[in-house]
Amino acid sequence: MAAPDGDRQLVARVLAGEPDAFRPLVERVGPSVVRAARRILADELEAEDVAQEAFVIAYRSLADWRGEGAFGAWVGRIAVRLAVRRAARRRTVGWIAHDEAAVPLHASEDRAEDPAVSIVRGDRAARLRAAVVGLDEPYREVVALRFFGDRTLEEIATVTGRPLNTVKTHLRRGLQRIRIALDREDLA
Amino acid sequence: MSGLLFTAAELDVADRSAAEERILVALGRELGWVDPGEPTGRPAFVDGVMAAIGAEPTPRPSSAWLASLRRRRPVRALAALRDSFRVAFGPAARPWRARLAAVPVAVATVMLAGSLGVVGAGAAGVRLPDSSQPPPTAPAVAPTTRPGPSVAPEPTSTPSTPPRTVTPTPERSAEPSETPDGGEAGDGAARTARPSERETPEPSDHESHDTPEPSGHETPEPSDHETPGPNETPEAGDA
Repeated sequence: MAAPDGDRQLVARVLAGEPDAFRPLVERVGPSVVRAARRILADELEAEDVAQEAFVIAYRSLADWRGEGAFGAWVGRIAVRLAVRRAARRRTVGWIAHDEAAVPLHASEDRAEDPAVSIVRGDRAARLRAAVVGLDEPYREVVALRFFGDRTLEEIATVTGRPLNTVKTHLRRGLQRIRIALDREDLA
Repeated sequence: MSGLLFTAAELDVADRSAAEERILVALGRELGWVDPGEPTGRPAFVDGVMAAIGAEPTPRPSSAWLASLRRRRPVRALAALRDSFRVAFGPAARPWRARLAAVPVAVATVMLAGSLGVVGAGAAGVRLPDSSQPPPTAPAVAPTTRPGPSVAPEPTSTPSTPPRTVTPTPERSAEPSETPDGGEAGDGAARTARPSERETPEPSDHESHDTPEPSGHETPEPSDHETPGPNETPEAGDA
């Protein structure tokens, strides 16, 4: 899968000595990168911090970008790794903040939702995050990129350099392990 | 909701029951619903990123290694050179402008490495004559070619080999043609006392000075006594 021409041209301009050409890239892919980090960290400010760090890392190693996949997928992978690492360092992972930004979209459509339901949803989301962060690699990366980074399996295969069927296998095994971890928590 | 609805087609075709598939699909969709809202998108975010990269060196491969050298970071400089090679000659589809910017650095690196190689080869060539002399360890190999005792029994059956046939034959063969005088044969002459008694009648018939001894009669007797056994041959061969 080749990168869009716009991404490649902008990257080429940066590599040719135009740092300001990086701004359109940040504006274009920034929201999805921040969103992926926020879904792992459950904190918008922290997610922006991680996303900024991901962009700086991407800028430093821009010459390594092979242009085979979307630029956003490449930066998103960096951000997901950083976010997972940061979440893993926490003692308690992902207690969702009960503010407007943290409430799931499908729940926020109904503004009159019972606060108790919101709390239950938040608790479940936190457990799901913790289960994803607790996965081993490579399952964690594939699951996080698919469900938190909103990347297709083809994009994940391209950005990770793995065959598509391998990505599918990692996804299935990752989901199975998450299920086992959640069941174990329910029994405890 | 997540932008991509998770379906069973995204799972591989491993052995799994329909019930398990349903559970995994439901779990995947639930994961996609975790906090899916759009970020509030602070406008300062992009400015913050651009300010952060403003402090970074330009990611051009051609200048990254120079910047690393100025900062006295040789490892990063080497990494930048490696990146230049990747960008310039790598198989991936890279923007041609990026390749163009990386080629001079890569070519300069190749030339520098080549010149260093030539200098190194020249330095090695100066030492080459010294290395052409025979190594001192060569003589040590020669003693191993000495014939061992186990080879010794063979010469008795093959007397044609030069070093062994020459030395034993004059001493031990009792052939009459080669030994005009029986006394020169050593032990064999001392034992053959009888031939001397038979000589007396025959010289009258033949010319005595040509055939001083009746060698034709003596032949069988010395050979019976003096035939060297297999054990003696190696000692003669050692000479």
